[in-house]
Parts: sequence; structure tokens; C-alpha cells
Amino acid sequence: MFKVFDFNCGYNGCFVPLSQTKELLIFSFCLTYVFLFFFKKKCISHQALMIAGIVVMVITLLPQTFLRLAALEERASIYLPMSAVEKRARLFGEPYVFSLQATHLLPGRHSARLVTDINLQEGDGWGINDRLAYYLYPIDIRIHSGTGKEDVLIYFHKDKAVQFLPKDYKIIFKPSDIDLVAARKGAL
Amino acid sequence: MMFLGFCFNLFFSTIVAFYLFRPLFVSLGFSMAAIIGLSYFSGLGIVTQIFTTLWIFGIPITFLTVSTILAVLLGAGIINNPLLVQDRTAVSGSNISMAEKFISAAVIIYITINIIIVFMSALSLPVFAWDSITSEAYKAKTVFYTGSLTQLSQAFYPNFPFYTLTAMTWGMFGQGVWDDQYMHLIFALAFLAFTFIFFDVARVITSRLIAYIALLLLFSSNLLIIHSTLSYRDVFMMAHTSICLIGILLWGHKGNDRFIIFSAIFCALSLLTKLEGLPYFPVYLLMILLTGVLYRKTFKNIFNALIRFLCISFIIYFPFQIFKFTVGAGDGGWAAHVVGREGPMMRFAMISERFYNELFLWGNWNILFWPMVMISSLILLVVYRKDKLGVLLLISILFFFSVYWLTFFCTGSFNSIRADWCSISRYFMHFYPLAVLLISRVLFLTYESR
Repeated sequence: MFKVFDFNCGYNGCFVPLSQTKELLIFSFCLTYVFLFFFKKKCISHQALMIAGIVVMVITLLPQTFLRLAALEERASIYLPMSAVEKRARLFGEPYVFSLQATHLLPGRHSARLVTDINLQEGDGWGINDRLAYYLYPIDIRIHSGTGKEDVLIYFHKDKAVQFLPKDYKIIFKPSDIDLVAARKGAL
Repeated sequence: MMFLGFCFNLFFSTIVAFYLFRPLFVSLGFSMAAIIGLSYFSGLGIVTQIFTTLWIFGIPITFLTVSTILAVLLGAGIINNPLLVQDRTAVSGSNISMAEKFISAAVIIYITINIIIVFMSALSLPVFAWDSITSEAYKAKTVFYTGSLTQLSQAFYPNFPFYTLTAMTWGMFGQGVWDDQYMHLIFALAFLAFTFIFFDVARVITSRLIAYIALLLLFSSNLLIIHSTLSYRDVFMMAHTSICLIGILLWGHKGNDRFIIFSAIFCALSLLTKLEGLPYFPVYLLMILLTGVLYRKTFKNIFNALIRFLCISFIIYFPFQIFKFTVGAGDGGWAAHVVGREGPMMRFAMISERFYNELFLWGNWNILFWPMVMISSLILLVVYRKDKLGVLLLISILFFFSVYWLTFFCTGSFNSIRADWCSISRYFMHFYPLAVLLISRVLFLTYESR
């Protein structure tokens, strides 16, 4: 099936693989137009050509709209029955669920340091770091991280996290062996 | 209840801008719907200015401080302009032909369906895109909790302008708690506001019937529809850039000098929305110069327009410049190092290929949109080259393409051409409405001359 119309909801827009069909269609349209415009000027006016072009373009809006409706239907069928928390949990997974629990147990503003085995500089690590920073806030893992001013340590996907815990910190929340939230004693 | 508070704040800033700027917008001949749309954008601009000014004077940014200033501005606006204007859009039914009625009905159905799609999609998800979390939502959240802009200097991209993030914080102030479930509404409303403005402008430079077709063409972009449902800055950037350019063109077309003030306001808003506003600034200045020359304005008139444009946009942009200077945020990596060893010819080929792919082959636009832009340009240059407005629209589009071409060719931004994540289409979207207006203008000239 020729895939001429697309509505792939990429986060940056619609990234669609190049298709020869599409290329062929566009070029035959342009060439016909230019040919008729320059070589058949006497029998076909440019007015007729312009209006014909618009009509063809408007006709292509129909399949486009159906695809948009289909995309909306797909999204609605997944997300409409969900609560806001369920939606975020589905979209962001573990970083969101972990952050939600941490912020419940540690209310208010805190300076924290994130300790993890995930490489935050590349691939999915970028996204995980940003999601944690956003959902953990007002527990801030960015501003004072690594400066020694932090009063909270966040261990996320850190193997044997407890072994790395400094003595002056106490565990606040430990959902698994690799995830842990600890606060400096006397700081809370 | 929280959602109502969120909506109330967006309404509050809009109504303040409505009363403050209404005399200007009315004098330029905009319809009531367009004035409301313009007020939405300028209202959020006022909020940005208030946030920055409060921070400069060391006053905490809270709902109380911001809304107090807005209330004072609203009072001043009401005292100055107590009467509502008449909507000039009212058209008696007898003047509309049957064909026009049919086309307008079909377009309204199409547009309504698409607006429903945009709003339902926007409200169905919380903020989720990587860029929006990193460069906007996270920063907006820090402002919400700290009541200060200081922490922005330590977050990612400290030099990014903060029009959208102050809009987010302002919305959240209305809710009272941070919950980004309905955040995308800000962007969907921007899309709706721009639709009103665009229709009004299209109607002024073409005809009512062709303005409806222009709306169809505007809505034909998948990228625009998707971006209206995400919390990216590009919908706002598109609106500000296009409105600024349209104002410059209408200055020449209608001869009302107040259009320069109008354009300068939206130029400043584009500077406050995205870093791309800076390279667009010379385009605006060149377009004022060209418009003045083409419409045979006097040297004094053009000079005055340029000075007025520069002064107003600079005054509005100045508080943000103070912020950047104070926190030590630069203007970004325009002269960043280029990775790779491609020679000029190879670069030329790679940029050409990328532009070609993004314009013609990717699903961001209607499949025939850019071919139609090319064909309209051809018809304009061969048949209607004396139409100043059409020629200026074409020149402005070429200027924007040139800005990106030169940026990619001469700076480290070329690195992104090689990357899969490059999103050049987003940049093209900023002036996409101008391309729609170009097609509409040529269609109008064609239709009228039959």
C-alpha cells in the first residue's frame, strides 16, 4: 500500500520515512504544472491552473483529516479512562513513580544529589535525568548537586545502594535494592 | 476547580492586554475576534514583563504580586478606554453568494473538527515531550516554588527566553498547586488565537472567500496541529514572527504608521519566546526597509519607522537582557565549532538534501503545500510581479530560508543537519503562515482578475 499521507505523532513533528511514491507524485504535479503554464498558455490560462492546484490540494485534506481523527481516537482509547497519575506513570514509568513516592515522603524543598549507574550523558539517560529532576522538584537534584550543600541523597538504579550510603544519612524510603532516598541526620 | 483557576489566570492576562492595547488594535482595523487573539499573546507578554521586572527589583514572584500589578494595569486600561468597540466583521447575509456560503460552511466544519482534535489531544496528556520538560516545565516549576528567576541561571539553557515558561507558571499560580495535566491548553489556545488573527489578516489582503481557503491551507500542516497539542515554544514563535512580519507588510499596504508599533511589540515577543528571534531581527529591519522602498515612502518616513521599531522592541526586550547580563547567560552557540571535515560543496549538498526532504517528503506539511508555494511564486513572478504585497511576502519567506541556510552553512548548527533529531521543519513553521498568505494572495489575484 502506498503511504502518501502520514500522521505519525513524533514528539518533534511527523518524522516519516522518505517514500518514492510521494516523490513521484510531487514531481509529476510540479512538472505538469510548469509544462501547462509555459507551453500551453494559450489554451489553459494560469487562472485555471492555480484553481486546479488548490482544488487538488484541498481534496488531499480529506484523508489527512481522517488520519488525524484516527490518531486522536487511538490516543483517547488509551488515555481517556486514566487518571493524571496513571497517565504519567504510563508515559514516564519508573522515574515518575519513584519521584512521586519520594516527594510524598519528603515534602518541602530540599537540595539533593542523584547517584546512579545509568549514564546520564547519553541515550535514555538524558531523559531519565530530566524526568527525575522535574518530578522530584522541589527536591532539587540540579542546583546544589555535588557541591556538598545537599541534605538528601537520591539513589536511582544504583547497584547495592546501601553500601554507598554515608554514615550521617538515614534511609527515608527504599522501594528496592537499587533505589533509595536518604536524608542527612538532623537536617529534616 | 483547579482547572478553573488555571483558565481564570489566562483569561485575566488576556483581558488586561485587551483593555491596554485595544485602542491600538482597533485603529489598525482588526476585528473583535482578532483583537481577542492578539490580546492573548500580548497578555502573556505582559506577564513575562511583570515577572522579569519583579525579579529585577527583588520582589517575590507570587500570584499576589503579579495579579496586583495586572489589576492596576486593568484599572488603568478601563479608565482609559471604557467603551467596547463594534465588531466590524458583521456582514449582512444578503452580500454573500451561494458558492461562498457553501465553501464557508465546509471550511467551518473542517476547522471545527480540527480544533476539536487539537483541544482533545492537548488536554488528554500532561507535559511529556523531552524539550518541554527540560527547557520549560522544569524551569517554570522552579519559579513556581521559589518565586524567583535566579535558579533559571543554573538550569539547562539559561539563555533561553522565558515567555512560555512564565505563561506556565502564571497558569499554575491560578491552580495553586503544580499539576501539569492541563498545561497544553496554553498552546492550544495560542493556536486558536492565531487562527482568529490569521483569518482577519487573510481577509484584509485577499477576500472573505479566499480567507476561508487560506484557513484550510493553514490547518493542512500536521506539524502545526501536533505542536498545538505539545508544550513547545514553536506555536508561539510562529504566531509572533508571522504577526510581526504581517504588521510590517500592512504598514506598506495600508499606509498606517501605527502598524510599526504593532510589529515592534510582536518582534519583542518573538525575541522573548525563542533564541531564533535574534537572527530574525535583521529580517524584520530589512523588510521595513524594502516595504518602505517598494511602497515609495519618503526617506524620513522609513527612517522614523526603523527608529520607532528599534526603540519599542528594545525597550520591551531590555528587562530580559538585564536578566541575562545579571546571571551571566550568553546568547547561545551560534559560532560553535563544526564537527567533521566536509568541504563547502559537501555542506551545500547536505543542507540542500535536508531542506528538500523536510519540505517535500516528510509528513509535516500537506503533500502538495510546498509545491503549491513554488508554483504560486512562479505565477507571481511571471504574471503578477507588480503586486507589491505578494512580492514582499515572497521576499520575506526567502529571507527566512536564507537565515537558516546561512546559519547551517556558516556555524556549528551544521552538526544538527547530520543528526536524525534535527528539526528544521520546526524552524520553517515559524514563517509557514506567510507561505499560506502567499498562495492565498496569488489565488486572490488570479480569482479577481478572471
